[in-house]
Amino acid sequence: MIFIQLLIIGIMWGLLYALIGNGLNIIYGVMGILNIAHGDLLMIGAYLSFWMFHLWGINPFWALPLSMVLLFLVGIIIQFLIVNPITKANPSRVAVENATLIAFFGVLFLLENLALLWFSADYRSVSYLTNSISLFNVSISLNKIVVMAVSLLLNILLILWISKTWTGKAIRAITQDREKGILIGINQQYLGYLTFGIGSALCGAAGVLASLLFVITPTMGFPFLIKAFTVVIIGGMGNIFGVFVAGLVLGVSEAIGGYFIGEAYKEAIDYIILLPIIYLTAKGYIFKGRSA
Amino acid sequence: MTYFKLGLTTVAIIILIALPQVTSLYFIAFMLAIFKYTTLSVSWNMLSGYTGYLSLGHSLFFGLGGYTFAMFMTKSNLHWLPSLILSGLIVALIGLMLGFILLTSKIRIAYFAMITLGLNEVIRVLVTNSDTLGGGSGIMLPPIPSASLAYYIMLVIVLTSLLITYVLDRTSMGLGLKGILQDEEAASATGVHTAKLKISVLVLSTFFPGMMGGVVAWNWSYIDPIMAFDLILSFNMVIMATIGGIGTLWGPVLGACFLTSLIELLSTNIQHFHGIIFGFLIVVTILLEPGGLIQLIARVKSYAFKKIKVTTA
Repeated sequence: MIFIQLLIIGIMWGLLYALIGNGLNIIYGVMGILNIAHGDLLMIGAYLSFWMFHLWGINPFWALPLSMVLLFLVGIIIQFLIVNPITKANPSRVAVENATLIAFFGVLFLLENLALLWFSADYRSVSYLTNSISLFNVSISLNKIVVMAVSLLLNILLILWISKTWTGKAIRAITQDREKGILIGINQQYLGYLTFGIGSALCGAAGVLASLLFVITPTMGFPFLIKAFTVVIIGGMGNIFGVFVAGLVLGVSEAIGGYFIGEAYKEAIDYIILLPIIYLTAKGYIFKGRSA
Repeated sequence: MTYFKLGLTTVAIIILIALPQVTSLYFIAFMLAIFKYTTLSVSWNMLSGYTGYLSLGHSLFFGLGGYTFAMFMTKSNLHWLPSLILSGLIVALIGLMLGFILLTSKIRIAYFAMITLGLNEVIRVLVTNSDTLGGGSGIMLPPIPSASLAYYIMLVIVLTSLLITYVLDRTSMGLGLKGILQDEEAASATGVHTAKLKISVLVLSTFFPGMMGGVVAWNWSYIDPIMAFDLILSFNMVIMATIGGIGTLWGPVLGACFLTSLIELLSTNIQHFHGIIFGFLIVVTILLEPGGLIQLIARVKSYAFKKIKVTTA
């Protein structure tokens, strides 16, 4: 029974990781930017959920779309203020990757410290739907079921959007080859705004969901960033479904590994998965199609 | 001009040597912070500034150096000088192994950044759970004889790291590194041995943080995982070098002095405020003056003297 319980918890976290990872994934794919402040957008989402719940009594079901809209706007503002000037100033792709990495690192520092100043480092939480139900001898709390359902839904919507629509096709095309994509008439500027907005919105949704499960602190975003990145590398840059599967794999292996190896080493598990994979990818032994 | 610069450097070094004899203990502590940050950002700049491979977990080497030195001081009866140098060398050896694993082929900047960031966290978790290394409560070291001893050791480390960077900057090795920054494949095609260069510069840029970690741990007289593998420390290196001027000799020094003073001024009044300013400054630097303070100074100078040519880093 404990195994099934762990499996369910693992799947829940996995779906959440896939959601965050896919946000990072489409941004990296279209613009070639590693948004290192991605975890802090999640932190903002979690705080939005917390303040809405405690100040105005808005329940997290309503906080979810609100935070998605707000973070969509934040994403567009970031794209306008930071990414566009850098891509205009630097012609080469490597230079853009380098400059944006440092710039987003500044954004991370800024957001984290603003949160520390305004919200203080106190641990906060949203306790909503915490009563548990039991199905076939497996007891699980309701908020976990909600998290699972919502993140599954958002993941499926994203996969459908990327695989079935023209915009999704354009995103896939430009992820595979930027120059040729621009050459056949894809508007990279527009896609940049769109993917940054949607990536941030997904992060906002993940933040609201994480606020139901996790303590909310200004530095909560960092582990999620690492997990999102791990998932993106394992699943493959630009491969939305691959990232979805990788998220599940990571979530389950973390839950089961954490149980057997010990909770203290749980943080290290994703690196132990990540490091050999990056090494082998960089050497070209696995995932031949992707350049590391 | 060269003689003028040489004279200026000599005078600066003499002033730095004489300083602890005439100033207060508070000022010495402040200088220790400046030395620490200068060494760290200068060595970060050796790797990441020149080659563009952004390391976001460089405090890993600082912490490893601190722990190695602490083990030497508590478990063996070696004199402090050989144990300090040995801890630097051991950290450099770890850097060498890391270089062989990561840098022998071309790897994306984003991957490298996340791996280094991740390694720092892994090692922190492992050290926190290790009983021989004191676990979460860390290791106590015998106290350092005097504050001025720490000052002089750090001064030597700072000057050596600057000297190495100077040599890097002025030789063909530096040119090769800048070639890697601009276009690694092209550099490799024109005969630059990129893997060898990257690995050797990684070794250099881990040696100094290793030694500095040892001295700082000795000066604190204890070391624990949270302060040894502090993420803020590795972030500060990036910030200082970037604001000062990436890929230049004096940029990280300038950035470290400027920002350490800023921390000292602000952190006593408002907590977390310097972090906000740092984040803001780094974004503004990247957007408006990617060359950092060094380039800003060059620009102002050329404007003031009505020169046409702007010296670029």
